[in-house]
Amino acid sequence: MSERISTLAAHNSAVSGILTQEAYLSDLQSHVATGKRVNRPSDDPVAAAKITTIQQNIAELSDYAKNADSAKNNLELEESTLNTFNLTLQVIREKALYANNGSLSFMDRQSLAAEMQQRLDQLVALANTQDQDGHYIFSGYAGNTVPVVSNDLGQYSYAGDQGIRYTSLSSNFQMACNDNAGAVFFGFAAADLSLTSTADVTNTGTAAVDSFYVETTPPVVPESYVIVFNTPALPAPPSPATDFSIYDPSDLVNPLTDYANVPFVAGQEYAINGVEFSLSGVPAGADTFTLNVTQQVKQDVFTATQDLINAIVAYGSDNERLSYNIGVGLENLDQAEQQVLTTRATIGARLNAIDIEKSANSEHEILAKILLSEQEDLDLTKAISDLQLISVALQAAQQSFVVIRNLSIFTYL
Amino acid sequence: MPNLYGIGVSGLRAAEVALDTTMHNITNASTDGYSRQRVLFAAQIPELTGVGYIGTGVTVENIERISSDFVNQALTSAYTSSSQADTYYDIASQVDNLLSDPSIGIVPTLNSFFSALETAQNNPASIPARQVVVSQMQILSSRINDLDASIKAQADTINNGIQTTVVQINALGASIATLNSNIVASLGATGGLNAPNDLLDQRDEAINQLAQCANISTLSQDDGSISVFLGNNQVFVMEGTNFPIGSEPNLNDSTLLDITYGTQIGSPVITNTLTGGALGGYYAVREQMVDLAQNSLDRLTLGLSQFFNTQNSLGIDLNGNIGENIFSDINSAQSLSARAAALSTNLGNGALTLTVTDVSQLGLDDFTLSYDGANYQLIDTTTNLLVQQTTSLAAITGLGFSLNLASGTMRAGDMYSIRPMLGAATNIASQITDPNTLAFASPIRLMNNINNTGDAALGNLVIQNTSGLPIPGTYIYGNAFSTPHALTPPIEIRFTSATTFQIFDMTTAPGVQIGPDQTYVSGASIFPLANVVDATPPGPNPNYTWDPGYQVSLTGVPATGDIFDLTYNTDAATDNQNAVEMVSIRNQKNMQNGTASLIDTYGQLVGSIGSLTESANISMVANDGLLARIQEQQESISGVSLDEEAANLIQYQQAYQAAAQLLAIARETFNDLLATLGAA
Repeated sequence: MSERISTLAAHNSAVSGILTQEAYLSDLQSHVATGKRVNRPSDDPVAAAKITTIQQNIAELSDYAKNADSAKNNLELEESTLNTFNLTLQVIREKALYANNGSLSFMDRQSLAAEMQQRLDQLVALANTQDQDGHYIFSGYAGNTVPVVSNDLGQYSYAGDQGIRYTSLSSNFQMACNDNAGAVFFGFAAADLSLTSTADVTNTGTAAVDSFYVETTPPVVPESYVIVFNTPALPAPPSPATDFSIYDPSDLVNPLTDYANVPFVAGQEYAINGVEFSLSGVPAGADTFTLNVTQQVKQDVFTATQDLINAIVAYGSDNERLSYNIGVGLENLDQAEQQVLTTRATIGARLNAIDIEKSANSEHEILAKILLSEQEDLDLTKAISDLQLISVALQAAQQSFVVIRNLSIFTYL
Repeated sequence: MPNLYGIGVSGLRAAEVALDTTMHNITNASTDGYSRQRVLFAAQIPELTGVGYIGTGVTVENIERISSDFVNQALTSAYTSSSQADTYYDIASQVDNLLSDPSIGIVPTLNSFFSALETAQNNPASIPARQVVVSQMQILSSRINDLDASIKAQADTINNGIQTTVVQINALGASIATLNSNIVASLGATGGLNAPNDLLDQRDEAINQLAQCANISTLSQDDGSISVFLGNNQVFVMEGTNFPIGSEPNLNDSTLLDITYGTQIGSPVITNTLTGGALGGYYAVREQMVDLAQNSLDRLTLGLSQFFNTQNSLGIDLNGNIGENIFSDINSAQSLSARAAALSTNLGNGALTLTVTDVSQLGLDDFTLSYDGANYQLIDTTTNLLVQQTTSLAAITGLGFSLNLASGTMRAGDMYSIRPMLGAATNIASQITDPNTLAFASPIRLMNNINNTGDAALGNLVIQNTSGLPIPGTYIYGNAFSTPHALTPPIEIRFTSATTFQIFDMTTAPGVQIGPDQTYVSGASIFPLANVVDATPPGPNPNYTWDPGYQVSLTGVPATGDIFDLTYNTDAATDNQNAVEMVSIRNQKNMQNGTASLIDTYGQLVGSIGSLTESANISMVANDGLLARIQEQQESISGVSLDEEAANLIQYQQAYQAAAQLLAIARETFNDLLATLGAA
């Protein structure tokens, strides 16, 4: 502190004191007006950087909440569709069981089949459900492609793809929002048998396998039968073969029991181990035919139902054959229903997971907002009391300036 | 006595001079830089008489200027420091405000853009959702352009400030020189005894104003002149001559002015030596804050553009086309050459281009490339350290960019300004107007045949290169995207046993096998295929690697006869795979060598600017405080106290009255003498 104070110095120091108070006052006011402690990065650089990160975090959490709602909508639509699907399947099942009743007439069965056809159309329509934007929900990524289509022969196929659409529910958790028809309605283990027949290339006759079907459940599957026509005894010209023997492919010397030298009649049905076959045309000696009975690998619910309906229509008068086919159809329907139930179970689990994640995220959001407030918000009480303190100090400075200004010898000269 | 009058008159004159000086002080009490003046009285030479030495009155020896050279020097350097801190803080606080201004801030817009992408991810076929993404892209680009313009406006302000200061410096230099001449002449006129006080004050004031403009040092000469030196002892004023400084655009960055010593062409650049005063403040804030903000924003923009452009090109849009750039190309023809500009002093005519290859490797600094005829040296312009020295341009690697001589030849001594991020934020613009062209779907459809009996499935599809061109390398063929709307070729994988499979080119049924039989490893990527035989005639040809530009793997347990297909993903309206990848860019640590995400780098910028501004504020307050203290000190020595001068007025008035009274008494004494003599 110097001993001598010049007039200018005294004036300057008083004025600068006032100006400093005013600047502080106005800065404090700007903070009170926004309610924020950090208006600009320089107010608290570390907090400012953190605030940027927290704001991004909060934005992300609100995005995840929207994603969760969207996923929920998709999955709930799917679930209710599948619920209706299974109910319809059960109706079909009941009708099929009833059709098996031996006391029903041919016409009764026809009308049952017609009702089942309507139910099948309903199944297909459910599988081809569209969401509110007109996209098929069971088509995978091919949202504009109808998933379940049929050909003229009543065989159904899946025309979509296997895409699964994921959405993020949190930074490390993704949720599958859809299932595709291929996984839900197609591809379960078939109860049907696959029957094929081949004629040997060296055959000289004009015979061909005419009909080949299952009458009752064969005891052993897979199984193959080789039919060989005996060479006639007459020397020449070659005359048509008159009987045949059936062999197992592993032993072409000894025919199967009861099937040696069976007399042949074109068009007549022969039965062996549950299957029946007939040949048409004129076989020559040593002509060979192979019949194969194998398990069909995969089946889908629509083709199976259509096959079931066709069987009821076609074998309305053949109780035994009808019974077999209804048995196969019911087994297929069971498999289909099981597959749909499994999918519904996963949907239920996913909806649960979405709810859990949603509530976890909303807790995180609350925490993040608290953190943001801690970094950013002004302690209003302290700020306002500071404001009053500074105002008082400013007033004192201003008043004392006026008083000191008047102290001069010149006023007394 | 004759002495009586002399003494009286001398008293009168002395009192008069004192009164004049006091009045001069009083009227100049508010003059900037005025040092109070004080009269030095001295007794006149006594007269030798028979009775001893008799005093002959008072004389004014000198009018002294009360001023301490020591404090003045301290004041001058305090002006330099405080002016530098003030100028720095002025600009810094504006940059600080820019980043927090919600109307041009980046963070809310960036978050809106990502939110729009998340919504579109949930519903990729929805045109309204896509439209929102397109709009957000446009808003984000505009915001970046705006922030870029604001930062450039700060650079302009700095340049204008520099220019104005240079003019001011030269004007002050001229006035100091004139004052020097006048002071020397005035001093000479009195034989060096009496200093022209007011001129000295004016010169000190001019020197202090100059000190606020730049860092200077002064040297007092014997003849009364003061020599002034700028920066590192560059002579600025010597006696009556001043040596003006000039300005010219910086060779590396034409938007920044350099200071030259002298105004003719070819004058040496002295910018680095001017570290104080307003000039020092301008250069410091330009380099530490404005350049930092500019380069940070440019780098963020490059990252945004590169990541999204690349990701979009790895998917297909609603029209089935491979995606194109959604933001401006970061390596547009114009940017390539602007980023590696040749200095105007180059003798050679080599033109370089700079291609940004990997944004994650980019730092924040700019470089200078110099060629000495054999070696290329890359020097960081901020630290002035040698970063890389190589014998070829291609060997400069690891920095996120590559340099290429596009035309002409370089000669020894040539230099280039290497600024990898130049113009990114100015040039960014949204390239998409049709929402259908956002590529949210994957270009490849994976199909596990429905009749498969095993449980293996295709997965882990990673698209790497959709350019249609072969992957660079020797004997690598097969990029699958060479034809639009098609996979060239479609692929079928057939298992011949549970552990071996064959890969078929399905362009025409039933397909042609590519490469040898493969052994199945669950989870391993099937492509690229090695050792594919090249049967093109005439042969023999070396085996080649077949790399279709994507990777996919099978996981699970396959069975014999299982079939898997890869085809072009037509009609995939609700495929969101590429959208999911785009959304994941938000949190990826894809900047700064894998340590920070896009928002993280922006947060770092905010933190840096904030803390630089905060410390600039502290420094300003400290320096202003120091200046105030020294000013107080100087005032206490040289300042006029009106009360003191009032007291002096009274004192000298009394002295004058006393001296006048003395004259009256002398007259009376003389009258008495005359009366005694003249009575007869």
